[in-house]
Amino acid sequence: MAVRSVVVPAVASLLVGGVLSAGAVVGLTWSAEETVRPEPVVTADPSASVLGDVQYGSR
Amino acid sequence: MARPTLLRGSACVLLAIGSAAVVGAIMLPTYVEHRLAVTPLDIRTTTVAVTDPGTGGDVLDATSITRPGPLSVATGVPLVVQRFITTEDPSDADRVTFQSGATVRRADREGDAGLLTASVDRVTVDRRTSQPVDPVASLQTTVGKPAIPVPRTGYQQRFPFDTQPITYSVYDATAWTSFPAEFVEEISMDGLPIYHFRTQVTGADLSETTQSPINSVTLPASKWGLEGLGEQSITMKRYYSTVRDIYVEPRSGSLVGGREQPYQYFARDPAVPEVTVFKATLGLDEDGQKEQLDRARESATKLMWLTDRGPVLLWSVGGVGLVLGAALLVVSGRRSQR
Repeated sequence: MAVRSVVVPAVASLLVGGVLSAGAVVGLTWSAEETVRPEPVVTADPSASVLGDVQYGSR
Repeated sequence: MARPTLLRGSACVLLAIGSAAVVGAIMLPTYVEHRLAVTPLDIRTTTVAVTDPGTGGDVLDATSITRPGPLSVATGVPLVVQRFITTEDPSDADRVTFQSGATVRRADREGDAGLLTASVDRVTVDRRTSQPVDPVASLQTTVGKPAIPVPRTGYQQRFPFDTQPITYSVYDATAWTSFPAEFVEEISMDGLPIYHFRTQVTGADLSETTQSPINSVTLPASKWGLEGLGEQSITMKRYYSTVRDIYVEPRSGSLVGGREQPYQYFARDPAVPEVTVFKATLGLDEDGQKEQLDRARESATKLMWLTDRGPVLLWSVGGVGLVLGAALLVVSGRRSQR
């Protein structure tokens, strides 16, 4: 009985900690992942570019 | 003296924290790194390479082809090579497309008068390995003409994550093919470990790898500046040599600096250059180098937390939590038996 009162909460704590951690890691990773290219901010006049619609930077 | 239930509660909290930390320590390098250690999709950067002040380069004067008299080569010309690199579609979770709009300009002439060449290069690479993948890469070098497919195999805009001190195949935008870049040494730039690679190309026949109307040119001997052959037609091919030094931050594979000595020339024998087309020593300007270095440092630090510091910290927290939790649990068990 005494052993059970120690082992059960210990296993439960380990499981809860592990599952919560795994969930948090997966969730944070998913939110930090970049799977779509962000729309660029146009900073120059495309019609002024040398080969049509390509810009060459501003520096 | 603390009651057994309080001890048991504290033990459970410590065990949960320890377990959470251990799971995190295991998942960082096995799960998170695979997902987050990838090439970003929001790259938008300009790099500028210039000739050393007061030195300049040698450039064939294109107008001398139609002018009477032999071809002339301008010397000591200040040159600027500017690349504007952006990410374009197709880009997704696994691949990213780099577009590099590049111009080579004479800095001593304004506007279009100073423009020597312009090109738009597109290559799609794997976001984890940095190796080219489908769709096939392309290159546009002429206004009004579509880009042509230029398949390639070597690294281009970046090296792989966890770059090793070995020889890599690197794409050369002038020769449209790849050459080996050999590891030279490890150096330090602003405290950041950097790998130095070097590519050496000698007398590469550009007609074998590129498409250009000036890869093979037939002109009267006098136009080439050859004496004693009169107006005899002489055909020369365009050859290319270079020594390119590439500096890479090894953890992220980011390029942080570069210096090259491109030399294009017309010749009948590749070992005997006769008329220079383009010859210069070009290095990234200070602003560009600092920007690249700062970006590489940021990436390297993030990767360090994913692969080294983070797991070590979490293993430590986990170990302490599990040991203390287990100890408290044993103590609470003994007390509850009394």
